[in-house]
Amino acid sequence: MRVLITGGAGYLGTELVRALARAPEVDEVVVYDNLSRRNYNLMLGPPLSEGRDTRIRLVVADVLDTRRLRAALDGVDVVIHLAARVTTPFAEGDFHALEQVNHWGTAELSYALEERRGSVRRLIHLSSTAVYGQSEGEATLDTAPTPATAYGISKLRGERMVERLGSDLDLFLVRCGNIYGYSRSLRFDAVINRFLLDAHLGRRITVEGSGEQRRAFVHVDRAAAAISRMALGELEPGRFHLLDRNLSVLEIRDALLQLYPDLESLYIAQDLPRRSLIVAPDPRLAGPLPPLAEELAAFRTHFSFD
Amino acid sequence: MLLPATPDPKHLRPRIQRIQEELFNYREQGLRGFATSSFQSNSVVLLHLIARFWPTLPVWFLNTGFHFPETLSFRRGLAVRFGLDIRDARSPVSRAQQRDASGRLLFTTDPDHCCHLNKVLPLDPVIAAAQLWINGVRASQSAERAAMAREGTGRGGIRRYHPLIDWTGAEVEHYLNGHDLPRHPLEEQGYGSVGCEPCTRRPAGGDLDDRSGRWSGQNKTECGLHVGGGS
Ligand code: SF4
Repeated sequence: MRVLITGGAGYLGTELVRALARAPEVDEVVVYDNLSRRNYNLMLGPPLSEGRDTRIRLVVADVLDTRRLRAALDGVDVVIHLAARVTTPFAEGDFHALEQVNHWGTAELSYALEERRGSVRRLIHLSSTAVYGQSEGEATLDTAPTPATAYGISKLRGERMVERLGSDLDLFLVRCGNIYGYSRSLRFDAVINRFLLDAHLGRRITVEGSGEQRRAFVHVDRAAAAISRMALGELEPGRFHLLDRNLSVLEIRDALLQLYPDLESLYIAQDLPRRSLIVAPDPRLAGPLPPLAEELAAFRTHFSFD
Repeated sequence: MLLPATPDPKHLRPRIQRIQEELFNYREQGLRGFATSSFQSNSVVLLHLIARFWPTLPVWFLNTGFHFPETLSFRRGLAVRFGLDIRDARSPVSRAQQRDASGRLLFTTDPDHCCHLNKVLPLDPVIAAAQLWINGVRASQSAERAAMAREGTGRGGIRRYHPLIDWTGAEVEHYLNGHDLPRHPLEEQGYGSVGCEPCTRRPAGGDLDDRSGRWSGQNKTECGLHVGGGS
């Protein structure tokens, strides 16, 4: 089986390449990435699987590069579409920049797949819980998406572009929470990672609003494991929620306090109402879930000094 | 392709008869023809007539890359339902090369150039290889279209044929209703004329002649495909 991962050199991509490169049924992992974040860590450091893995191939190209994208799809059985412009919670980026990649980049992939109907048999499309915007209660897979941010809108439009391919291939539409946890390609703009770094450096963490606003979170390893199961055909296609738990900023702080008892918090704009989004975890992806503090302690061991 | 034998609305019969004859004559002359369609509700009449009278005619869809997913699904559904040979014409210019100096896609700063790359250029090889171009433009849609004739000459001397040029929006409605034909899925959400997503605004009302939602706020009313290239 040949798997192509757009955005495969990114945070989640790196862990996914690691997971797939270890699967015996995978003959080749094609990492399709424009390296726009200037993160080259996928290629650095110890091999991702046993020995030097010749089954990993990197294509440095943009998802909007129609010609290269089509060429890269040659002989590919499974596509995992991670390439996206992201924002951190509460941050609104340039709307067009989000649209360009998340909506039109996905569209470009959808045209290429539509033209080779029958060759790619499985598509895993990474969307976001941000498509729900704000939730009254818990957003379930039946909840109608009502995105509240430019990012959420662009991700929903991307979903619509691939949903129309559902009769051509097995479609996994994955609404993913905010990713955290150690990876050599990790992002420190992801909120839990950023807080842990601040705590480790002895800095104060900054809490905006009341700190009670909630978001859905998933550990990068569990996200990679779930997507790899989809890629390998261990799950039935459909729409998925990919998250471990919903956490408030204060709960994250409390977990950090267990590791860094001297951690101080600064509250900014406490009166500002903050949106909450609580998303129902997906029972098909359920598994053992260690306490957050335990995971953060494991993460902490990756810092080379205290 | 066997289409359900619903009778044509009575008052349209003479005109449909004429179209049938004209299409027959073009076929008899052995002209290499093609049609273009934008796959809106409006387009369904021409597609249906082609399926009835010239089912092997290639129908080109300008896949600009910026369509609504609903339009893309609609085209697939109609291809199956009418048994048509529908092909996508795509820009020879990669999407990554369709950005302006600040990295934004061209429809944000230079829609004329965007249309040129995605609507005009893709058809050049199709036009060059054919002798007859059939399209469903109607005079009542815009001033530019009102100035167009039933038959004429286009880019590179190709013959153009506009069988529906004298049809009104109401007549299109009658035909669609008479044959119980599908509508563009966005119509029920209030869209009139549906083009590329970035350049289509949701209009307040919108009938089949209403193109006010296209390039809304701009003086632009046409993409350049049907105007300017003729002789
Ligand atoms: S209609 Fe808009 S998006 Fe479509 S080709 Fe023209 S400028 Fe580009």
